[in-house]
Amino acid sequence: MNHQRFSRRALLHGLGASAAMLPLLHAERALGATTAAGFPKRLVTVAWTNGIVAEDFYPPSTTLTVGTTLQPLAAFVPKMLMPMGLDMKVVLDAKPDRAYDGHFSFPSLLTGTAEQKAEGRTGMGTSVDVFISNEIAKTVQLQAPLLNLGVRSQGDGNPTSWRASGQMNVAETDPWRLFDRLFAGTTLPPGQIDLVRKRRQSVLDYILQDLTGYGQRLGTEDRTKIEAHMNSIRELEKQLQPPTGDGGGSGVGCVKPTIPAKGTKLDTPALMKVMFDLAAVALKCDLTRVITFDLYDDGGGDGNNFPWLGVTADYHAVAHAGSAQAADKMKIDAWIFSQVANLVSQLDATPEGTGTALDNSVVVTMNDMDTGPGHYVGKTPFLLIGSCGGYFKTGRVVKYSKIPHNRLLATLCNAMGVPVTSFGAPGYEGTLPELSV
Amino acid sequence: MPLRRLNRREYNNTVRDLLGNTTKPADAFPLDQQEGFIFRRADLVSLLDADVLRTAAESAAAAADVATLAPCSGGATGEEMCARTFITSFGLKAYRRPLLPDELTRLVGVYQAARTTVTLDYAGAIRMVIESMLQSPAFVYRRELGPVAPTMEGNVARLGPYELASRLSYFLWGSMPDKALFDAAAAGKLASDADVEAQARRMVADPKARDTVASFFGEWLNLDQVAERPKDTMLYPEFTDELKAAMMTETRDFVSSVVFDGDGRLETVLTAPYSFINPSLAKLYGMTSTGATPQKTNLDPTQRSGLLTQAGFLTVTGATNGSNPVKRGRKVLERLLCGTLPPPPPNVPPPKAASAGGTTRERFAEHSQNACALGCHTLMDPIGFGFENYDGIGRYRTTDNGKPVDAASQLTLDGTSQSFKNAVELTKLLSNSNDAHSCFVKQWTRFALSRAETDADQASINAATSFFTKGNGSVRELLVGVALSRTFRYRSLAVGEMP
Repeated sequence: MNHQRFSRRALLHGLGASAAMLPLLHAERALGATTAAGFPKRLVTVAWTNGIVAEDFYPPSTTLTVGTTLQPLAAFVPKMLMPMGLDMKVVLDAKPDRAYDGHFSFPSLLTGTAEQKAEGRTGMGTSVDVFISNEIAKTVQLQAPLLNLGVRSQGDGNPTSWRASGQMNVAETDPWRLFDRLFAGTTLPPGQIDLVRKRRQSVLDYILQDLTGYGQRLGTEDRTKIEAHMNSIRELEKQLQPPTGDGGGSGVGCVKPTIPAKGTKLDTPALMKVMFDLAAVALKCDLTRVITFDLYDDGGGDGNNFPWLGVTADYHAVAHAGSAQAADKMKIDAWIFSQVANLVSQLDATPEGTGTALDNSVVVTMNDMDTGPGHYVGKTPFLLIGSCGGYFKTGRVVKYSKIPHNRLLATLCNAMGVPVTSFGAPGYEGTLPELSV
Repeated sequence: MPLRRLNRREYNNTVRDLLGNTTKPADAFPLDQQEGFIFRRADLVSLLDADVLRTAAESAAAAADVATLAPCSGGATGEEMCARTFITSFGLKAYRRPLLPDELTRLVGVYQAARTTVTLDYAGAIRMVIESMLQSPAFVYRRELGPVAPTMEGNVARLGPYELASRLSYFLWGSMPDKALFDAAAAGKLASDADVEAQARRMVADPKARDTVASFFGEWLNLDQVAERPKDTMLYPEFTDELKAAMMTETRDFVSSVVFDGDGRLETVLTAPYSFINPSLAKLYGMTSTGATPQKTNLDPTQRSGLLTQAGFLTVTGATNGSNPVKRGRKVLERLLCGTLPPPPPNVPPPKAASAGGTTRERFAEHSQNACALGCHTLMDPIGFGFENYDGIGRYRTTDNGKPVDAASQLTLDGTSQSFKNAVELTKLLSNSNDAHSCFVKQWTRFALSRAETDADQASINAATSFFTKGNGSVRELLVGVALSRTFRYRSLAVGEMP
């Protein structure tokens, strides 16, 4: 089989799109961030809370090896890269002192900003997923330019993804809605799609005009909320446009998945699986190139336990217990990494050119704190899986000391084909060239 | 009140009252963002929010009964006239105030585009108009900016009649105004204290207020989160979905019964020796089952005394595998007494596990000595020890880890230190305290305004408190008192707002 060339047509055939829909698709050109061979580059971030057990997570030497926590990823060590010693310095430097604000750092992880307020919950700038997906959207219209996914419960903290300062991107937690978002266009006849577009366009025009008038009568702070609302409507408008993209990739494994019947009560393992499975398909089918996952949330993951692992105590309590319950903590962490491994293996099982879809991607795992007992926002554990089209030199540990994590964010932009020299708040400029050499 | 969007409950209720749609579409919305606030609220519309609002609007419009909402017998030429009539009358309800001339013009424009560009028939075009209105900021946000500029009195704005009608209905019903309230607004009958009081009393007596009161209690003490609290199923095999649902139903049945069918008093909510239980709850309470559906049942008054000794509260504040004096004490301190705690210090080691031996109280007492002796645990734990007679899901116990339970403790109420032997005595002390009563008024004010109070609200909170006291501590009277308070009927002009 020839996997050298990526065809969106082939992908959509794989999804069961009707032939009549195909004229909507434009010329097959390589667009957006692509590898030298013309395959799309993808970025996936996966964030959760309560830190890691440092003695187990970090390798004992400078050779990348896995302990209990990372065991589910053992097969991918040659494709992994662990930058050690990065701090969320922007939070450490915040006033008042936020050094132990581990439960309130999701809004800083991808924005490289920090609210100057104890237990601040607001992202103060655009997050890296938004920035990169916006750049990609300048040249290629994907079904979902950005997917913000998550597993949340009431009272959890704020997300990692921010469209702009103060404008959070709420994570999608409903697998059926996600399924519709990704695959709805494959079932409607084209005439009807066109009418739906016209209808929605008229409605959105009305709402935008209404919002403009409404906002003018509000105070400054409320007006920014209306501006955020208008931005959301403009995004919906963009999504009305038919996808034009044709990046690169093979379409192998791009099969519309079967998910549990709508309304089925899914326990956490089942929900995690379906969400990661859908993410894998969305990437393989080039429906999206940038995904964020917020798993166990900022706020401590209170109200979660892991009976399927035999860990019935509260997640947050287990994390705080430190060495006393380290064995349980590692079981939990390993289970979460096994969810990541599910995504990674599906990408790695998808041939693209001489490598796999994983080789053209980078999956970055991260946490809102260092370790469970500490809740400290320095020494934040990051792990990269996939070389992003050869940008990263993998199979290694790269040791840093007190380097701002903003540089990793800037590096991710560069890896994704968006050249920058800094990301996030001013004062944290630079990249991490050591990850590439 | 800062700009607030209809939260999930308000959205569901509003489409029910506006369109007769009882499908609760907002149950599928992302969870309301609370941002550290006790009560459910929503404001900023993210992309996902905009998307689900569109889906909900499309489904509600598709299901709308056009023949009833917008009847038209005028033939093709009269249809636009019918549409115009519909937009005017429906617009008043959907936007909770009369349409602005420009809004009417543009909505007629939507209707025309629906007929021409989208090639819809009359009913289809009416649906498209409904779809547009349900996504308009005038529907989505609770800020009724009518055609008239706010009336300034000093540096605050008096709410206009439609604004006040909407604030009343979302406070007392979690929904849009009904016809009587709209009519009162139109007739200028929401201006005097007597007018507002008459409407508030009418609304409190309406069945829709029951859901509001039940929701308040659910959010106030997190009693609606029973199902989200993990428990050790080895220890508590009976903690099934059925029992969780029974606990939440118990709370709602109990508080609505006391508030609406009984004497209505907070004191009764906090001390009543009865509840509404089904067979699985009866088992948990050590009672014999009384029937398949929840029945009003007298409980053992030496074991149970009001809401705080019921399974829901004890479950949400319990640990996964036992009691939790810290969480229980903290909930009472923060939610019932409006006390505040300093943030926890870093690197707090947890209390020892049960396997280390000793009762929960002994292990937690040691923990508070170690961790932050005077800072916070001395505020929380002594209150929480009062609940040591209840395990993690609210079952009564006299021993813990093989040793006798000691639930005697003390707390500071109304400025003096008071002792109690157990939760029954603790709840009686709370139910009689001024601290608990004034905090309760503050919580209802937060709920009504969907924001934290400021110094400027204190006079209004005091006024509502005396209304509450004069009304013999009845929650129904308190609701009327909050509706009458100045802070409820006025608002500050926001920075940058053009009056």
